[in-house]
Amino acid sequence: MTHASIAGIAAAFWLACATTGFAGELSFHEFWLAETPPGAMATAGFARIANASDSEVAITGAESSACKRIEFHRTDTIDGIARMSRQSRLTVPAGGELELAPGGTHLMLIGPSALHAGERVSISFELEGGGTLTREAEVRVRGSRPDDDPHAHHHP
Amino acid sequence: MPPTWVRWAVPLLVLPILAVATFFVIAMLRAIPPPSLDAGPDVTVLRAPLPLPDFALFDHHGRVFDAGRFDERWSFVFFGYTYCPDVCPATLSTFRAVEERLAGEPNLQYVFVSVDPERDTAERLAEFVPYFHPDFIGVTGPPEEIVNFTSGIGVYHQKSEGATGPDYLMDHSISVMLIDPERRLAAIFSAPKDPDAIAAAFRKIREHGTAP
Repeated sequence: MTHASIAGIAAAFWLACATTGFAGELSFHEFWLAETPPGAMATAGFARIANASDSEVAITGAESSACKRIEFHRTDTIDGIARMSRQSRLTVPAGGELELAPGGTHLMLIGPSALHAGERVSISFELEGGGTLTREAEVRVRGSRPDDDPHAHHHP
Repeated sequence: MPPTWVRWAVPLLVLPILAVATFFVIAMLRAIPPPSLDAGPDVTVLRAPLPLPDFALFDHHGRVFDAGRFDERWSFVFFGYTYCPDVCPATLSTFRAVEERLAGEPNLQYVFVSVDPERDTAERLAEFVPYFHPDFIGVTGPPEEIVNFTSGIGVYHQKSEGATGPDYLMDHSISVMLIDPERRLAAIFSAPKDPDAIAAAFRKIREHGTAP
């Protein structure tokens, strides 16, 4: 192996580290998108994002080839009225988790292509500080698993 | 032995007093409303079912949908919009799960009323609603007729603050309303998430019946 190729590999490794930033510290669990009803103008994405590092990680954007754009939204239900508000970023606390769940904070995929249960969709997340992180979500029919809705667990 | 007049005086005095007291006790009992049926947490069963207002809407097949469509059957009704990515599809999925549990129940229908008629045309609802179940009914119509319906049973909806352009969101009540076969609001499910609880509550309410 030549010095040049070792240097090349090292450079590629360095570049990979640099572009992922804290990405290695974030892990996605139960990352899924709701199957789209025909003609759906929007659908939602959910996950449990864990941050193993000792500093907060902020996600400032997301995109996918499966939809026109992705926004972060939070549903607040106050006095029986649901209101959605757009969030500029998602923050995952140091050593903690961020739960994206039905009826709470979620990814809103606007203008999605037809997504069918079982398909896998790649979503890229921009991290504060310049890194990116790409993860695959599974398309699921809503309500197909009891753990799709963590809030349901509160009602025995 | 006391004189005859004494023997008669006691019942003659006591009986009218008893009668008057009984009358007042019955009147008091009638004035206190009976306790409402306890159908579980997050379910309010109305002591006096509330008659629906008049409204003129249409379903996703283009057929007239007015209060008469609630006659002689029970109806679960939810108010939302098809652009909604979170609460509305989640609630319609809950409807689907409730339908599975109550599949044997006769004369029961599931209705999704759009609070966003600007975008939710009958055609749009015809795509969206049957995805959750082919028998579910999507309802839309003129905005003022939707307000006639929703304001009459306390359902809130409006465009979200800062809504601009075609991608606006709606704020809306998440409650599911149960309408009885005499077109009256019978019960309100304020956190409609658990299909088992909703199905059990429905059976209880149907068995108990609503007041005449």
